Amino acid sequence: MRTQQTLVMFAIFVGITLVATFWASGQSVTRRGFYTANRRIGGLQNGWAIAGEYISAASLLGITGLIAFYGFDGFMYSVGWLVAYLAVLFLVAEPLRNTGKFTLADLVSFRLRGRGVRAIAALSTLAITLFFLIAQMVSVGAIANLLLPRLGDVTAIVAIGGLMLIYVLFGGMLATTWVQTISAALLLAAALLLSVLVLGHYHFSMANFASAAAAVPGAGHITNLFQPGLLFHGALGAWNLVSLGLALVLGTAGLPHILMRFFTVPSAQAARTSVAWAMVLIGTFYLATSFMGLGASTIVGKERIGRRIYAGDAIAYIAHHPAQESSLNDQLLHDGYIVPKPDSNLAAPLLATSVEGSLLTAFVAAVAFATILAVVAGLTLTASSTFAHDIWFVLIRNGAGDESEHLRVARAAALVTGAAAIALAIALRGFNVAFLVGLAFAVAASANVPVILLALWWRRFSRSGAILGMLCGLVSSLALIAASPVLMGNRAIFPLDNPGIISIPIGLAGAILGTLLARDRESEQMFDELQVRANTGLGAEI
Amino acid sequence: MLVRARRRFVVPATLFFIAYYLALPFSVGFFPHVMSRPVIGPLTLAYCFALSQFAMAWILLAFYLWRSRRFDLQAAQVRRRETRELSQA
Repeated sequence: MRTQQTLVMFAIFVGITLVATFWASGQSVTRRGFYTANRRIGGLQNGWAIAGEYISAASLLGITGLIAFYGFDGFMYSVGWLVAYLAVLFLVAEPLRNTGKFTLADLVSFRLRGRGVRAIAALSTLAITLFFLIAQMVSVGAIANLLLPRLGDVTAIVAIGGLMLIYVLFGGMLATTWVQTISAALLLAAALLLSVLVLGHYHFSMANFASAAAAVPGAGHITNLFQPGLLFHGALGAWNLVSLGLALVLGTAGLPHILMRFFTVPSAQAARTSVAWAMVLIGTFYLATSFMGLGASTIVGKERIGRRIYAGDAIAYIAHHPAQESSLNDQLLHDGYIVPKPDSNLAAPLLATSVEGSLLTAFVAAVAFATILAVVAGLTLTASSTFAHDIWFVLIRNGAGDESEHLRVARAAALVTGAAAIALAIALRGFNVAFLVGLAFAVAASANVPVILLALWWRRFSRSGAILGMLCGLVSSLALIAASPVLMGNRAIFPLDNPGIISIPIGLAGAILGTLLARDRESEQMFDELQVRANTGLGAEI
Repeated sequence: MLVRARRRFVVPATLFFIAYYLALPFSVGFFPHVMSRPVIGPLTLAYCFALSQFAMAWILLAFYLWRSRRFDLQAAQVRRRETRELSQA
């Protein structure tokens, strides 16, 4: 029953967005239309689209679950996602709008002309985008298994991948923007509705809610969910926290698919307005994760969050697992079902079941899929623009070729990226690829951010500095993740899960060292032009 | 002028928010017992500090939006001057 409700709601979302795609297809007949929606998206809508691009299903399901199970330590993540936007606001949004054309590499090679800089910038953009894309597509399978077990993970991956390709191929940036706007609205609606229902359960008394959450027991010496230490502990727990925080807060300002959204607005003021709206929406959502997560652990209860097995199946399960017999029997008698393995990812949907019923549960599931669709569409578009604009148009064809050739290449690149993502997601089904998201943030923070900042602020910064900085950031993040406990378990050479605290300084040092080694007069002369354009918008793309 | 005025705001604001944000994982990681103390009802110091980060982000956002109106005016002046020089030349 719930499967059908979810599918119907998701189908309504797809129907509305397909109409938008059909209407947008007339506009994406030029490169400018395809990559940037002709720079005619308003600041308000771009803010909603940034929120839709940024908040993933992993936040709705994963963060809510982490807060439900680990309390404060889960909420630590929520804080970083919002604060990171201050870096976007202060440092990159407006200059990027004024100096960029289609891709991140455009900004960097504005004053650092040359094929080397563009090639390495394109490479790091592709690395970040593809890591994200694979992580998202693999999570489609996992979420389908969780929320729609009757549908099957392969069907879900193919369906989401196929839909994403339709939006990107036919509607380009305009359709992607609408998908993201609508999915952000649904996401906010689901989060706020759940939060209000949680508070309603406690008769809208914050004091009652807080004392209920404080009554949930922790583990070891930690007595309740408001205390830190349930998730990050041990000697290196603190350094892991700091390293993760650093990568999160700086990395966002280097994520190509977020930065690409600033090319869609008509002015630097609109870019600023869009960050402002995005921060209001993203902040509201992540504040709501606190209510959803703590609500799930108080109203549903940790031991009831997980796949539920009912009646005959439950009895058969107990018969096969005699060791847990007495506790499972108690649970069956008390609740009418058993949860043999708690799974934090089900916290939000099961909270919906507890506070409302199957309709809200189906809505939360449908929103999760809509969210993934919005995120992967943006990622595929970013990868396609980098392939077609940076690699094909600038590096291979040296700027030659007409409009229709560029569009053909862009669409072909999107098709190949999407097809590869679908195939990889099916092959990697069931693997835990969550580390890819951390890796993407680490590469963005270590390879992109130092180079973007120095290109915008340091007169002497040179081409060799940009190339060395990006290479150092990219290689050190990849190497440190490969040697970390995430991939090597107990035999890890590098003790931290997130490389940020080491790889960001390495990337920055590479950029400075490369600059000091060789003087680059041409890039220094271009600095003044860049400053004028970045700050006033004179000569910027309109 | 404009670039310098902008820098005067952006650099301290950036350093401040990074320091304020990193203070959270540092304090929680290295002084868990202090941070576990309840301060407002059952809410611990750590949780209040985390919630204050949301307020900090929104206040800095509002402050920047207010200041940037002045940057916009200056940028418009520069643009007007440039276009006048171009038309005279």
